[in-house]
Amino acid sequence: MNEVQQIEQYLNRTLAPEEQVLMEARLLLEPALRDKVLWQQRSHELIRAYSRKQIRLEIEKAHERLFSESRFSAFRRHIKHIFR
Amino acid sequence: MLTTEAIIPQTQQELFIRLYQSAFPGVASFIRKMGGNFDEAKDIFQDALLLYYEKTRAQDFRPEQSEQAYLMGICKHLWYRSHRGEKAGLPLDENLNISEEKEPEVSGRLMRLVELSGKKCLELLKAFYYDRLNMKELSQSFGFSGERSATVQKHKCLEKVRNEIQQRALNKTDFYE
Repeated sequence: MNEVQQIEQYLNRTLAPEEQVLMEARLLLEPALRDKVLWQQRSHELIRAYSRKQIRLEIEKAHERLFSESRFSAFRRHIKHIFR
Repeated sequence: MLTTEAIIPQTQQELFIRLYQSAFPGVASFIRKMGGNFDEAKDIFQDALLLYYEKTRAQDFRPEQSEQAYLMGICKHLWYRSHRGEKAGLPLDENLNISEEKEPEVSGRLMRLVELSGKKCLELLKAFYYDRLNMKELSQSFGFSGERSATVQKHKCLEKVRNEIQQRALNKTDFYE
């Protein structure tokens, strides 16, 4: 198991109990490992922010298509009618 | 349930178009009735679509209502929360069971730098951690030879992003000291 995977399992608490204890001991002794754990957590925040941004883009594209393509004209009329 | 297609943008757009067609008219009528306008209906509905998408990707998702009912429930909640002072900060309806985590705080600048250094990695990590494709689906979508190589690549990408942001942070410290 590589270190990235080990940190991931540590963060998810899916390491075997003895490995979890070993990891905690290493974290006390190795500041560099502590940094890696911290930055791996930050990476997940970044991945989540990136993902949400991409999904919002796709939602906006769907909206633009609905309010421009001719095949959705009935839908548009319906919405327009609601806000008339 | 969404499957592999969930991450192909064209198909995601089709999904959102379908949800718009089935649920937006009802939501628009509700917002109109409450005195809102088209732009407010749009903003609220788009937030709801994002939350609904995340909900359907959760491992334990079991549909208990129709998608229209879910979306309407989320939109009503979002509307009341932003328009009724006394109910502001109210948690989402329990039976909607939507995780409404705060938007992660990531600077636009950092995001752009990481995107520049490897959009492919971010796409892979998004597919795994956010869209929650399994290893088999991941292999198919990204053309890996098998689940093993998909796993290896996923970890390499996570390490790359981690090293990248760690390095940026160190540089910044150097710069200010």
